Amino acid sequence: MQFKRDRMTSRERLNAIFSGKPVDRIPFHAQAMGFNAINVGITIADFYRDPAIGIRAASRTMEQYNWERVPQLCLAPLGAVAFGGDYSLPTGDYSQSPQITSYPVKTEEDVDNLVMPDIATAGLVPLLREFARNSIEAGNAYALIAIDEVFLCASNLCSMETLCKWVIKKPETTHKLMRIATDFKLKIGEHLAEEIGTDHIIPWLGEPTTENRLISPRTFEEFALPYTKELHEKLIDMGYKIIASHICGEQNANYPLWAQVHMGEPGIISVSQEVDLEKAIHYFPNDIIMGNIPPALIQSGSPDEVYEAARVCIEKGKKAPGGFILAPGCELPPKAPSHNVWVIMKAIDDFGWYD
Amino acid sequence: MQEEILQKLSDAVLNMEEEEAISLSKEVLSEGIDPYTAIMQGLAEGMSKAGELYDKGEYYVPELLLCSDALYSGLDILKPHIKSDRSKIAGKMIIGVVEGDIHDIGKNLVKTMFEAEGWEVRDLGRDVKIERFQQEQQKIHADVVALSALMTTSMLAMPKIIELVKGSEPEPLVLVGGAPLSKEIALQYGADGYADNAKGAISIARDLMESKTS
Repeated sequence: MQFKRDRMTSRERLNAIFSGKPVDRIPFHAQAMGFNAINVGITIADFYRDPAIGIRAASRTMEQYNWERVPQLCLAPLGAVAFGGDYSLPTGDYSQSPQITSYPVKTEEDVDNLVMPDIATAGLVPLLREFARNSIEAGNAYALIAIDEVFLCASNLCSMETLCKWVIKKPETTHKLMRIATDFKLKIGEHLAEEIGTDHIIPWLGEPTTENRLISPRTFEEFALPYTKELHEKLIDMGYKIIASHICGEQNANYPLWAQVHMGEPGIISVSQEVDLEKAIHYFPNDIIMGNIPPALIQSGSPDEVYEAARVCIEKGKKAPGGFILAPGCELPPKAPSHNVWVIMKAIDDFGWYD
Repeated sequence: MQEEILQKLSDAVLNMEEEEAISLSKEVLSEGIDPYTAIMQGLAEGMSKAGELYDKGEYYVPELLLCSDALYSGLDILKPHIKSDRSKIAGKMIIGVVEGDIHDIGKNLVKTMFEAEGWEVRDLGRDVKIERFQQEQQKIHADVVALSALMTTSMLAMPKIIELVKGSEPEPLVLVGGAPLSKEIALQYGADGYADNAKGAISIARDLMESKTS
């Protein structure tokens, strides 16, 4: 499917917005993973288990809905599995994505005993690499590959509950964990750069665990921010020009701190539904703003409600000086009604043109 | 003396001092202070204040988890000494994270707050099969069934659970919570109430219980 008024291919549109040039209309990125699987009749587990199958499902779904051709893969248990923890693939009717089933760090001593794995074979890293490789082979200009942020990785290693307690009771141990997590993320970046190259990969740096319903801006500043800055700067030094930072959840109070981080050249700021797009534009005037239709609304709202939410996002996002990509505020719900997804594209066709 | 120990117990929970809560709870017993009073006016009072600080944005989840550790350390010592006729139950609750979801920090904090308020809580854990809520309801006849979900896919289990437990006798009130939920979705799913934090869940449960009995 393509809009009759489209004057650019998806590749041209993406290249233009990434270069700060005009685009014909608002691009759309679905943040779809499980949705792709269900859409083409495979299981969500298959999408995550086999990169070739995953890319095929993503490619067909992107074409069907006229989304930008940017497949995305997020593997939340990445850190846990690489260091000896375990995970499960989604099964049953209500599971959305891979989940951690055991953590490698249970005691403080375990932190000292963590050994950096061989990155080429570490846990789920090969899935990320092969997903990126398959994406290029399928003709996509870019793939969003989730390296993810450092605090999330630390929570992956010892559990969020333990990390929360350690930031107060064991600050030194927390810093050790953050150091290991940062080094691990950088190793993934280096590995993907060597194996795939940096031209086609957009590192997806998701961070749901620093949201302010969980931790304070002060905790973010002390434990996450220094390592986050380092990760971003070194990834950019490696040659990743564009970075997508998914500031997930209610992080309004963290935005001034996130604004201190080098987000990319340009960065893509993926804004959660809890944060107003105008606020994101204020803090990141030179970056591409992406967001933020509430996923729960796409799942459970009426088509009219979804259409209106998309329209409001488009009207706000069009004012972003660095460019705007319409997207859900987080992953597109795998079981989102297809008509609710279609009306988002209709909203772009009705309101998303730049002339 | 009693007042001073109760105040210190409350402070120990509020200040996340687990060892202090243990030591003071032992002192409660050695001084012959009524353990039920020590729980409600000491430990629970401290947890309630911690919840208030969360509402004000002064405490966050790390602080609440450590307050909760201090609370349970004290409860472990004092609860076995409560005379059964003094253990007044504010209500019975079944709580769990729904099928497909393993995120349980929010659920655990709600459980803590309700236990601190004198509720008897049956915690089914996380990734709980749909039918399990109905089975437990048929066994213990809870006043409230509380459901938690953090994903847009797992929250889809909620209307099915609500339909099942609402078909039980006596019919419980159902509360839902979790990041993707909202008041509107809660109502759409047939829940009686929605709360976006643990302390709020108590107020809503209390209000719903009162309006049900009035």
